[in-house]
Parts: sequence; C-alpha cells; structure tokens
Amino acid sequence: MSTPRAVDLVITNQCNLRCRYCYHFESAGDVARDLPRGEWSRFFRQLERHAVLEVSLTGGEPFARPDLPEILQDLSRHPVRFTLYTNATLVGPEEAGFLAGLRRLRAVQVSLDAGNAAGHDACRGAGSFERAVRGIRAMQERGLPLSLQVTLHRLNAGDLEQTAEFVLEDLGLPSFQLNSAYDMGACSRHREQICLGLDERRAAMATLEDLERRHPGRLRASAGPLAQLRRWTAMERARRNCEVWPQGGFLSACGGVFRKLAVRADGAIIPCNQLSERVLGWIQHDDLREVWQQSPELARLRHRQETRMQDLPGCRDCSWAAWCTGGCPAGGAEGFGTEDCLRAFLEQGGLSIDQLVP
Amino acid sequence: MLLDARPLPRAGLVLRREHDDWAVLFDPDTGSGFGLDPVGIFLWENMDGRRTVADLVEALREHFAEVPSQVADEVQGFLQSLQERGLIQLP
Repeated sequence: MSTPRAVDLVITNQCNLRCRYCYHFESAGDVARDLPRGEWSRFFRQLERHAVLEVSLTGGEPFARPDLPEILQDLSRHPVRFTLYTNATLVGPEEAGFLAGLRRLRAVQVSLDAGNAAGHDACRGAGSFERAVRGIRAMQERGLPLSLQVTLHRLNAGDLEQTAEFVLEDLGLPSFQLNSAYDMGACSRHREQICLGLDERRAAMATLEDLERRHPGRLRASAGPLAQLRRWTAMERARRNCEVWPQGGFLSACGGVFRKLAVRADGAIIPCNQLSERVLGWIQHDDLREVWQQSPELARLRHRQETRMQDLPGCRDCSWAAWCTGGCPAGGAEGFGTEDCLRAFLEQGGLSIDQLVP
Repeated sequence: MLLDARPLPRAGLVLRREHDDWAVLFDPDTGSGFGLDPVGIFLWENMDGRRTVADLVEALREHFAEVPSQVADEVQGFLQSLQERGLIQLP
C-alpha cells in the first residue's frame, strides 16, 4: 500500500468535558495549541493527492472548536468519506442540521457510557448525560447516521443491561460498540477507581454473553471484555480442533499500521491516537506518502508481525501461543500478563477454561 | 457497449492503487468500491471521452503482451459493467 487508506485527525485539543478515563488528556497528544484552519486545509489537499479514502475527526471535542463548520465544509469538498467523533453535548438542532447537509459524512459516533445519568456522569461530569441524549435525539431527528460507543469502567459496568435497553429500545439504534477504560492518559491517574478489576471483567463477560443471546448481532466490540470473550473463545475452540490461523502465533493483533495513520492537534503525524508520543513527521512540512513509506518507527511497528508469540517472555510454554496474536502495542501490551492475555486471566481466577468453552 | 462508443470516467471518483498492481475505484459519495486489475486500470486511465472502445482495445494490444484474440469482447463487457454501475458515462 503506497499511502495510508485512512487517517484519524485530532482536529482540536479543546474539550468541554474532562472524562476521568480519557486516554487523550495527559498523554503526548495533549498539546498546547491547535493547528490553524489553513494548515488543515492544506493537509486535506494532501489527502486527496494521496488517494486517502477515509478520515475520522476527533479531539478533544470537535464541536469545541469554533471553526469546525468551516473545516468540515472544506473537507467535504475533497473526495474522502469522514466520521465525526463527539460527546454530543454541544450538538443542538442547528449543529445537527448543519451535519445533515454535509456530503460524504459517513457517520457520527457518540460516546455514551450508560443509559442513565448516574452511570454516564460518573466519569463525564454532572449534566452531561442529559445534554448528550438531547444531542443524540437532535441528530436522529435529522436522520444522521449514528453509532454509539460505550466505554466500560467500574462505575458503569453494573448498568450494562439497562444501557443496552436504553440504546437499542429507547433510542432505537440498530447496534452499539463496546470497549473499556484503558490505563492511558488521564485514566492512569484514576486506574484504581476506573479500570475494570478481575471480578468486574468476569461479571461484564457474563452479562454481555447474555445480552448477545438476547440481541444477536447488535453488540460490537474491538476491545474490552466482549472482544476478549469472543477472541478467547475462538482461540480455545481452534486449539481443541487443532485449527491453523493464518496470523496466529505472531504479534499481529494490530493491523492499523498497515492501513492508517493519525495526526495530532498540533500537526504531528503519529501511528495512531494511542501512540501519540511516537512522532513520525509533521503535516506542516512532511509529505504523507514519504512518512508512510520511509518512517523507521512505522517499519518497526509493522515488523512486530514477524515476532513469534513463543519468543516473548512468559509465552514460550503457553498452550495458546499458536493462536494468540498479542495485544495493542500502546503501553507495551503484548506477551504474558497483559489485559488481553487469556492465560493470565485464567491463572488469576477470571474463569476456568471449561466455563469459557463448555 | 459498441466499439465506436467513447466512454468517459465519471467525475469525482478516486482511483487508489493497492497491493500487487490492483486498484480500487472509490465513490466518496456512497462509499462503494470497485476493484480493478492492471488491465482495468489501463483502460480507466486511457478513457477520455474521445477515444473509442476500438481505440482502447488497440492501445491495450500494444501495451500488453500475449493479449487474447477475444479481448474486444472482454473489454466491451467490462466497460458495460462499469456503465451499469454508473462509473463511466457516454458523452
């Protein structure tokens, strides 16, 4: 692939909320200044020249940036489809109407942590649930393509059933996506109060398994307890049936560096928003294609896929080493003992293997 | 599609080269994609609304080695499929 197919843009470092589990604030991506609109405009021309097809805009909170409408109008003149990530608290009928008029808006993804104020506001601040739901309904009234992201943590995991009912029944959305608070950025300061412990993870898995049965195909997950449950179940079934997985046994879980890049609010080109300290170049003076093809750091990250799991510390004798693909490279989450490690979960008493796959 | 037709790529589409000399023809308004092999890419890049289908077949014979005898039929069928998907137009 000569250029990235997709690029994630942190369009602003400003945000009207300070969520306690935010991975962005207090990370290297938490920068002092936002790029001026003119710099983004020049970069949009680069995206077109290099045939980038998909863009996501995140923050901070994109609507905290006063010139967001001009930026989106500019972007929508280029041949890319884009997704906007928002907390929806700054979205009213006017903003929803503006979004509905944009060409090439693929989706608006809203963060909603629970189907009630207590669960949602626990990490996001009082009143944010009411404002977020008002924003969601304003966007629904304009027929915008919405998706919902629920981040599980200690203070909302017990609300899962009610959250699912609220999203799927009351809001009437076709599905929602789950992940979990990760020990990064501001979350690291609150990890004991926020990140799911073993008991909460086990309980969440049981609830999610039940919700999946009741709402088939309507729960999605790329990280967190549901994603782990699905991956580990598949790994154990493959092990029992002696199936071979094409990329199993290698550090191949992260495929992002083969298809996308990200850009910080100050213009630094980074591998992804969770690896914001690894600056590969700057959109103000570097060419995206050259960074994509020549960055030694990107080459190193891509090279991970050639690392055998059994060569990692603690993984040599693991029964699942031939199927495991490691975890997210952010925070060095690979090998034995990480949150994505099945064997560690079993050894710590999370579940027995027969409970995982009867 | 007739051999004297003069196909023209629809404006606003993105041709993005991917692995192994293949490419995807991407419609940013709908998000749909259409895969092109090297012959498809050659035809796409040579359509300009002035060259006829017969001209394109001839150019293809000159550019590629060992072009099969039924290539005109195959090119006509390929261009017909692009037209049915709204990816090309006939001025």
